[in-house]
Amino acid sequence: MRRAGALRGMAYGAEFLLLYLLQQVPGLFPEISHSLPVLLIPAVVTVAFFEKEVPAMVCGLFCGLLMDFGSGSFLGAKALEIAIGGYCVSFLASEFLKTNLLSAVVSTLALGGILSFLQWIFTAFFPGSSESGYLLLYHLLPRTLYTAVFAVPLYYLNRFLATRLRAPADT
Amino acid sequence: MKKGSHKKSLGKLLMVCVLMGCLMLSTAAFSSSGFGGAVNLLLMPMQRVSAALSEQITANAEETATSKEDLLSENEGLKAQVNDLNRQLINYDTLKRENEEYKKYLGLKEENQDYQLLAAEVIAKDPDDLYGSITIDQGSRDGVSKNDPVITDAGLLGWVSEVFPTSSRVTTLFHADAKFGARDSQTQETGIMSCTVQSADEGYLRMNYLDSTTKVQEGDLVVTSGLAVESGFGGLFPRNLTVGTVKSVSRSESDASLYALVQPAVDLKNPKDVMVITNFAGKSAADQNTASSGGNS
Repeated sequence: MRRAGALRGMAYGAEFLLLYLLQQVPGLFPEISHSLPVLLIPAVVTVAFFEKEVPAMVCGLFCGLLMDFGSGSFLGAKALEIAIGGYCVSFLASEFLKTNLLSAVVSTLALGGILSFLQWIFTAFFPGSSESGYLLLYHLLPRTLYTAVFAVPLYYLNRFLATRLRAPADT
Repeated sequence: MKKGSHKKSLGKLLMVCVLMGCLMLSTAAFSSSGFGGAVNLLLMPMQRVSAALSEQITANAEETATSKEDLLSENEGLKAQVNDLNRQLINYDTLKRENEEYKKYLGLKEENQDYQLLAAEVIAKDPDDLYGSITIDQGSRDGVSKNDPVITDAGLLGWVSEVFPTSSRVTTLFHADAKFGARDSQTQETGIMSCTVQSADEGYLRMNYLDSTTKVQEGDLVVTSGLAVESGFGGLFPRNLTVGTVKSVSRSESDASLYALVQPAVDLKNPKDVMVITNFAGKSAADQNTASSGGNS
């Protein structure tokens, strides 16, 4: 059981690292409305559908820290947001949501939307940017939608990992 | 799931919240470059490989889009090139490319003997950054320091905003903080370059505070003036770096002055190979100026 858990953890870790590198590669993804997808968000959400709260939170923490290191902002800010996001999605998935593709896409939209809104609040609204509305409408909203598209392949990938790398007693 | 199990996991979530809160406070109080530097050191080689792979994939995609005849002749040419390259050293390609890059800057270097240039490659672009900052593969170990100007062979790209041992983050002129002195090279009129999110999306910079009788007109070349701008970036860029060409002149929305829309000379959204000006005449004075005004973000 433990071995399967460790294997899953390693697989998720490798997946997150690969997605982080891919999302940072300049020119790999086409810009849509001046936005690029943040692949780690659907990755955390889809993993949270197949894992318990604490592992989902750890995944969120790992992805958030990667994003913090990449962005140069406050270290721990994104980590905190995505860790809570991972925890909540896992809780909702175990108690209220059906584990299917639609739920994963909607949850990605919800978490991506909340993260974008928080970013907007702290980087545009509170500093009093005259273009805060424009930023929200033409940058953050398209990015959220663009990011949610990647929930589809990542849902199937993480479902595959979660079911294949699980001890029979866990299922 | 049992309630006890939820309580336990909630406790762990709270613990993580407290830990992350402490981490945020510590990085706000001190510099994050220690943590960031360590992680960058680990991730940089992977970023370099992924950027190179992406470049290769793009090149391959472009190849498949060409006609059969073109492909055949290109194939012949490439075979000959491969044979040739096989005889060379393993790092020949990199050295050759660097050499070609340096050649592009030869004119600039001859005009400005005081410039110390360092070639760098763009290895990452942060999708979470609203202003599209980039990461280059040269850091403090290579002589890069914070606020160093970054250029391409076409002109000014931006400045180094954060330095790690083996990589650096570069903020481009499309950032809201990019305020610096500029001059019309034809009329010698000066203004302050800045950028709004909307103008950046349209691909333009703004040269503000032009006099209402300005002679600045479409097609004029805009270069850095080297003048300091309070709360902006100016003063750190050396003089006469190409910024772009004037696209149009319009009346300002907020006062009686005019502003010019400037098309950047550099592709600010997708730069590839860049040069960092690690030293130039007047740099120390510019650094002191930044330090006394509290620097920029």
